[in-house]
Amino acid sequence: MSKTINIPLGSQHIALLEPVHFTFECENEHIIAASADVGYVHRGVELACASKFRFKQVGFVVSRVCGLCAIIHATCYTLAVEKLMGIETTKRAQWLRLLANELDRIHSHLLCLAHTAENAGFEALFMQTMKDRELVMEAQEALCGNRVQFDFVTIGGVARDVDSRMIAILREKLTKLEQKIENIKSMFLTNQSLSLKYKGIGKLDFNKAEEFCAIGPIGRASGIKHDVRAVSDYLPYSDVGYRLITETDGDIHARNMVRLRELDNSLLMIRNVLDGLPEGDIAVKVSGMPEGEAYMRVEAPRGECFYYVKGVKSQTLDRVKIKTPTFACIPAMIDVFVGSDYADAPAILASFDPCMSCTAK
Amino acid sequence: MVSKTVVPKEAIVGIVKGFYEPHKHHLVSIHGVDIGGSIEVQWVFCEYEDENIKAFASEFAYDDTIPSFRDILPSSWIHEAELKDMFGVDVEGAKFGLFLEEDGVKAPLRRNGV
Repeated sequence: MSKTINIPLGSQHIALLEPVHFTFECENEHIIAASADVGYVHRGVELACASKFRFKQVGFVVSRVCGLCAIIHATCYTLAVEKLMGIETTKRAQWLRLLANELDRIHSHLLCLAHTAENAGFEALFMQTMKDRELVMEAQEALCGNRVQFDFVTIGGVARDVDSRMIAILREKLTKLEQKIENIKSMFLTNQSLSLKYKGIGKLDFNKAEEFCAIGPIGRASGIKHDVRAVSDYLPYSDVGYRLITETDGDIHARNMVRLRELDNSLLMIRNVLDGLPEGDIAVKVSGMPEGEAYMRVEAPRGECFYYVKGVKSQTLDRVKIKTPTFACIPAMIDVFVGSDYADAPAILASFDPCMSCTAK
Repeated sequence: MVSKTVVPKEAIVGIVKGFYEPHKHHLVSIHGVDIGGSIEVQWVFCEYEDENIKAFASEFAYDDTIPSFRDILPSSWIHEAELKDMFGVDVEGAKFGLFLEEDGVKAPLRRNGV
């Protein structure tokens, strides 16, 4: 029987952004078992949503589940409540919601790619990517009035309209960003630290991805053809040039490639929104109270985000259930660690783009 | 399109196992709803290439043991651990402490909890 050693990673570690703790049982450098503690930042958001706040306030609460995909949580919750109340918002509001959702995806993917570069020891590219990401942060600020924690999506529509001046600002930022993303993509494709080093590392093959119900860029990098935007018309994705992006290798490199290719598609969709934004109001009047059960899912940057909302015709909801993509991918992540080298663990973790704030909510 | 089927608790294992096809469906959520004196547990699935949502629901008493689906859904352990923490119910094979601490609140999502 060979000797094993338990090596902890986190909850405070130079390679980790998030408060998560892993214990790896290793034989030399090889991980033979892994476990995770993901509950460091549990805040009781679901309980608060169904006890402390009125249903019209809950959208602002769920926006604070995650600083990165705030708009996604607000969108998913809002769509669930609108379904319960029979509200159909205006076409202009739908397109503006789509615009905000895709800006969110771009800044989230860029953050993930920056950290992947950092974990490869490529500090300069990390800095460069974070600097380039400022362009999309500024675009978000122009659209929503805030860089993060934007309360843009509201029940009935959106909180702010865009005018021609703002559209010009968005176009200018996105044109610059397109060039920057081409450079980042070229680095990820050709630089040895990022492409060759990560090919074949942290592999989740198609069968395992299916077995563990992997979603989002993790699943798509393993060949799973699943994206809520492809199958649901929760926002008008079919009108603005959405396309499903998959890879097959299931390794860190494939995950990076899915995100990089999705950046291109998000930029294309944003351009199409700005070109074809319908005229009209940005919200409809909301009256009544939610009653019944609604199941809603949207595609967050990390994968499928799911909300279950139960209303009992009262100001306070009976139940709000939030299932976030990182939460669903933890079992797959642990499976990928097993069989990998300990030295690759931070890079594998970064490629899963984990959000513990979402996971523990 | 959402379809919810309420199933007697004795039949839930057989019905979910009969429904679930790994190549076609993925597990979206396992969650509970306190319906006053008991808990409705819901298992929610989606098709990979379709927008349909399928939910199965069964009612369990607070002291019932809720079955696990880890044998067919290896990723269900995390949902089941959350269910155990949040509702203070016994879920087959699930450990307490995914989100809560031993000396902290108990069953926060149960109506008589905290």
